[in-house]
This record gives sequence, structure tokens and C-alpha cells, in this order.
Amino acid sequence: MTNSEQKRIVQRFAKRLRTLGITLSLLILVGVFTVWTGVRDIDFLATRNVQNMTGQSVIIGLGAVGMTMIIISGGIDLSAGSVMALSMVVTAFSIQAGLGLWVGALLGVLTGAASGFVNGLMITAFRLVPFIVTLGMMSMARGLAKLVAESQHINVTYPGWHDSWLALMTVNPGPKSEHLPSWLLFAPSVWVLIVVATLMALVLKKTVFGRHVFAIGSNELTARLCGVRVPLTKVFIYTLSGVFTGLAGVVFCSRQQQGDPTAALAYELDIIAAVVIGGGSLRGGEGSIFGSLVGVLIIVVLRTGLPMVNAPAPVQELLIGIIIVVAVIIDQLQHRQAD
Amino acid sequence: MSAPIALEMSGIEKRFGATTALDGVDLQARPGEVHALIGENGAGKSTLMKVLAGALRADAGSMQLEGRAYAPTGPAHARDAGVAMIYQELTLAPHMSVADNVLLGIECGRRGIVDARATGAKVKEALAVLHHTEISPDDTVKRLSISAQQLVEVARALVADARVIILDEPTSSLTQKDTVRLFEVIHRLKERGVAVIYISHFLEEVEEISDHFTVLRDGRSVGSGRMADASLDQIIELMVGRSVEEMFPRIPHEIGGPVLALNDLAGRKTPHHANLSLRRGEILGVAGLVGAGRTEMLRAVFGLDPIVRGQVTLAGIGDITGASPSQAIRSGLGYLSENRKDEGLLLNLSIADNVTLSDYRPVSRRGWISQPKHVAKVAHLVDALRIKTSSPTARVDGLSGGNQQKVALARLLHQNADVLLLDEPTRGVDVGSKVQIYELMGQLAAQGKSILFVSSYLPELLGVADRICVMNRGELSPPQPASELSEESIMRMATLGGEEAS
Repeated sequence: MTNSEQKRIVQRFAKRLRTLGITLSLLILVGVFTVWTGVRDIDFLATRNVQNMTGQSVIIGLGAVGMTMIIISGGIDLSAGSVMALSMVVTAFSIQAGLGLWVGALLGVLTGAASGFVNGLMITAFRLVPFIVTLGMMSMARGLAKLVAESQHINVTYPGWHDSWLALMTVNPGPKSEHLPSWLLFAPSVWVLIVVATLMALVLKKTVFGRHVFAIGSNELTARLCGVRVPLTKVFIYTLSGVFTGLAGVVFCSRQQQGDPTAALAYELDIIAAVVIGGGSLRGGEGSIFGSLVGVLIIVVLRTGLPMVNAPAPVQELLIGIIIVVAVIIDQLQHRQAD
Repeated sequence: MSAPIALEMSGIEKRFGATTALDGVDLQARPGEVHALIGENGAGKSTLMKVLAGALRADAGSMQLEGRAYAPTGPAHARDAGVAMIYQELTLAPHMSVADNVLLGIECGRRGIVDARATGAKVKEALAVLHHTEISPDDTVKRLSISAQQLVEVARALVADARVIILDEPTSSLTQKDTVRLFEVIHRLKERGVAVIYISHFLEEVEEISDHFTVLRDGRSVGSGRMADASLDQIIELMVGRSVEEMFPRIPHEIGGPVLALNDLAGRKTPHHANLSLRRGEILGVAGLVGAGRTEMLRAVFGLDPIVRGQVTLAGIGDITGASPSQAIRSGLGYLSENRKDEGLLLNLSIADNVTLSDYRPVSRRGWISQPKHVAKVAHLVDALRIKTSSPTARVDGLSGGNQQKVALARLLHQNADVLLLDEPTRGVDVGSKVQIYELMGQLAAQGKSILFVSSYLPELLGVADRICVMNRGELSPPQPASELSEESIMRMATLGGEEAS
């Protein structure tokens, strides 16, 4: 009994330590870059730079919210980047076809949802491994995006684009942008991410659906035995995640003012890395939205900070790779302790 | 008693992390005798035998083999020293011949070239010693029956000149006839002066074949002696650490009309024909060998496996054939998996989540869970079932086997199951928790719930169930009152089938 109690305390402590640890790592990383860039007379924490980094975090962040849910359920989604590109292209295409901004954005989100739905359906109906199904979807969505865009960029030439709500989504508030009040601090898309993430964190923690997601990832057989409708829940998980991926595509379109079928290449890897760094276990049953978002920020800070101190691009790749491996090792060690 | 000692194990200790699997075990086996190693699941039998066979290293204690110190560094070393282990799961290469299998790792020949003639002769000789010349060294192993394959393993041990042969649950998948054949082979081994260590659950079988016994309980040797001097009740008492009456508390319960009926139920593989009628307030035991189709029957009823033919009807609800698990739960069925680690529980989640997973409705509104309500509801069950934990939010993998099983049972209480399908509910559970589980089953029956109780441990079936039916290769016998059955009669039905036994 004392033994199991000790174990419980260790486990609980380890979990908190993990979240605390990555948050601390992020702060240390920011501190290091502030000092390092300071030497070169660059202000890492300048409003513009912070706004820039948070803006970049939105696309990967929205993907990470969905991916966290999928990874907790024991799955994986390799198609996230391609589906973002497809949604982006569909949004741009619809706007150019004269359907308007709202319909364009809606169709972009629906494209993401549909891709997720197809992923979920193939995984459950044919009992295929998520890895393979989403690998297929990765290629299909990319191909479809190129078909729709005829392998070119679809530039959005909407009259009054720069003052439109869709364009303003990704504009940083400040003296230059007259449409956004400065109290907003960040671009509206950042707030969209914060709202979506908070909502999903609550859903995962406090709803029956959320507990079912954890149950399926922890042990699918047990979930089935307890009457959880596993296939239905899985299809819903992938569809909901697709909604967020689609949203990321719309945000991408807002940023670039175009539909680029080659955009978001390999973003799924950054997204998965962020979730894993944030404490998500690829074995399922573990992960948190908050952790994943900290993981996203770590990756974005590295990707922004390293060029500012003139680190060559290969060094960035190397460092991010090392961090992912270290995160997985920590996860492994923690599990070994639990056994 | 002047016989020399073939094997002496003394003060063997083995720890896995914080759990003590063996805590000072002594065992002596004499040549030409069968020594039974008896104990419940988790008592430490297989750990002890793994230490003997070199698969595990003891933390403390010593072993002597024919008077010489013996400390195997691995399974190969143990085999060279003359210790052979025959596992329950046979370890043969199915596509190779009998001869190849017998001599695997000790091939005759020179410079890597196998001498076929010498090989054949040696294997033939070993099979002749066992009086089983009908098996040819050239036969392909996968074409042989399970019992013949087992003989190949025994032949392998003989050719390796084993002085100690361990048989781990050798009859668990044999028919009565094959068991008799195996016993003859064991007699041959005795004549050759081999010390046989025999592990089995079936006490009556143990009584028949063994000369001496050692009983393990909670990693300690709690008794040993000559089989002829001990009664089965005494051995059970040693195994469980309390008297038979204390072990199976009888709670009076009244039996009513039929609740669950299976009508000629057939699953994809097993069962073939299952007919039964479970009555209100009844504990109906289902005995049978592993793989006979008992688990498959429960799973089909609960909607986890497909039903090929037949009907499941529930009083007050009607035909529930082919219902999904969620429909089965809503109809009042509750299923306890025999495999709580792989299927029964979400090990890395909390007790609370594990208990309420099958029905969140009482603790949620419109899909949102009320955490205080959730914890309070589960805390109540934790108290009622005496689950030892610091909090209902503790993770399940930190609990002992007995407490984990109580969590799985708490789920059935939470969903207020009316008909409980319990598959090996006391497997891997300490004795104290076992008694509590028997008590709980009695109380549930007294409340008018009905229990289908699958178990491979015959004393508990006889001690707890009102009626018992036996599954034999997918065929379910009609139930008989437990008071009219014995371990032996059940075993005979489980291996021969009902018609032949009567």
C-alpha cells in the first residue's frame, strides 16, 4: 500500500514536472535568445518579433490542437500539412470564383473536416492503421490541391482585401494598422487559436467525449468492452481535427493572400514534434493541449531565434531533431518508472 | 527416505522491483520420484521454475544438483547441467521433423554437417524408452497431435540426459486419454531415475501422479511432505492459508425464475452448441479447459464476438442476440474480462475513469462531467468494495492485482448490471481479496442479481456456484447442482465430454 502510494505520488509529480519542465525550457530558451540577440543589438522581445512569432505559431498551433486529440486517442495524422494546403487552395479558389470571403473560409474549413472524415472512415471501416491511411491522405490532399490550383499559386484579388476581415485575421495590431485596436495585442488569428485551444482543453478534460478519447488511446479493447462506440468516436475525432486543420489553411490563405498548393510542406512533422515535446505519448492515452502549445512555441522560438543569431539552417534542423529525441527519451524514462 | 537428493533448492529469493516474488523457498526433489509443486496463480511457482531452468537469476539462496553447487547462468547452461523445462506453451519448431526438434542445439555430426543416421538412431532410442515408437523421427512436428508434440519435448529432455525434468501444467490442453498416456511416460521417466517436478492446478491429478509435494503461497514454501500422508483439503488449506469453510463464505440467496437464456448459441469458432438458463439470484459456474470456448461464449453474449447461430434472450427485454456491447450494458449485462491488464482496465487512467467509463450519465449533464459528483460516486464504491487506495483519482496501475480486480468489479456495480458475466474473476488475486470477491458474489446473488461464473479453479467453482455446467470443445453440458459434483467428475466431463462420462 505505501508502495503504491509512493508510486502514485511519483507519477503525479512526474506529470507535473513534465509540464513545468517544458514551460521552464521555453522560458530559458527565450532568455537565451534575448541575451544572445542582445549582444548583436537585436531586441528578441520587441513587440514586432513577439507578434511575428505568435502569428507563426497559429498555423502549427491549430494543427497541434487536433493532433493532440488524435495522438491521445492512439492515432496519428500525417496528412495535416497537405490538408492545410488543400484548404488554403480551396479558400482562395472559392474567393476568386466570386463566392465571397465567408463562403470561401467556410469551404476551406469544410475541406479540412471532409479530409478528416475520410481519414476516420477509412481507419474504422477497413480497420487500417492511421499511419498508412493518413500517409495516403497526405499524398491525395497534396495532389488534389495541385489539381485545383493547376499547380500554380491562386492569388486572391478580392476588392478591398487589405481592409477585409479575412486579411485582418493575420494582421498585427499597432500604429500602422488602423482597423485593429492596439489593446488586442496580437493578431485576431492568435485569439482564435487561444479560444479553440481553451475550448478543446476543457472538452478533453471535462466531457464524456474527452474521457472516451483518453480511454480509446489508453486501451481500445477496454473502451469497447465498456460500451464506448469506438468507430463513431474515432471518425468524430478525425473530423473535428480536420476542422482545425481546415481553419489553419484559411489562416494561411489570410497570411499569404493566395492559395499555394505547395504550402505547409511537412508541417505535420513540426506539429507531431510539438505534441510529443509537450508530453503527448505516441502510445496513446496521454497528452495535453497546454503542453502541445508550449511545444509549438518552443519550435517557433527556435525557428525564429536561430536565424537571428546567424545560425545556419542545417543547425536549426539538427537542434530541433535533438529536442524531439530528448523529449521521446524523457517520455520513455517516465514510462519505465511507471512500470 | 535414504534416497539421495537430485535437486535441492534452499532459501531462494527473487524480487521484481518492489514486489517480492520468492521469499525464501525450499524444495527437495529425489531421483525416480515425482515432486508436485502446488500453489495458486501468483504464488511463485513459475518464477521458482524459471530460476531452476536458468531463465531468471535468484537474488539469494542456493541450489544443488546431485550434490554439486548449481547456479545456472542461462537456459543453455541449465540444459547442459541436466535440467530440462517443458513449458505449457510448447517450444517446438513446427515445420521441422521430430528428429530435428529433439536434437535442436545438440545436433550430431561434425563441422556443422548433421549426421542423419546417428541423429535418427538417437531419437528412435529416446522414443523407445518412452514406449512411443509410433512416432517416427521423420514426422513433421506440426502434423502431430498436441500430446505427441509434448512427447517430442520429453524426448528432447531425455536425449539431453536431463536429471531433472519440469512439467508445467502438462495436462491443461490434453484429453483424459492423453493424460493417461502422459502419466505412463512419467512412470518411464521415474524408472530411469529422473526427478520430475510436476506443476498442475488439478489437485486430483496431482494426488494421483506425485510422490512428494511442496506448496507455495505468496512466494514462500508453506508445506511439503509425502502425498500419501496428506488429504486434498489439507493441501487446499495450505494453498490458501485458511480452512475451506472460511475460504468460501456461503451467503444464503434465493433462486428465482429464468433471467438469461442461451438457445443453441454458436460463435465463429467456439462455442458450437451452448444452451443454458441462468436464473434470478443464481451463481451458475462454467468449468472447462482453457480454450474450450467458455470465454468465447461470454464474449458472444456480451456482443464482443460475433454470433453465428442461436439466440440470447433476457427476461423483460427479449431477444438481444447480436447486441453491441453498449446495447448489452444498457440491457443490464455486465462483463468482467479474464484479462484485466490487456482488456479489462485502462491502466494509465484513474480509478474514477475506470469505474464510470461504461456509464457517465449519473455523473454528467449534457456531456459535461461534474468532477465532484464523479469522485464522490466512485469514492462510495471504493469504500464498499474495500479498495485500498489513497484516492479515487489514483492511477490503476499503482494498485495490487486484487485491488485492480475490485476496480473492474466496481464498474459492473456502477452500471448496475443485473446479469454479471464474470470470466476468471479471481485470477491473479491475493487470497484475502478472493474471499471478498466470493462474498461480493454471494451478496449480489442475495440482491437478486444473476451471475455466470467462468473459472478454471475447481475448488472455487465447487465452493461458490449453485450449479455448474462444463464446456468441452465448444459443447456445453447441462448444468448440475454443485453439491453433486467433484473436481474429478468435472475434470472427466471437461476432457471426455458429458456423454462418455456418464
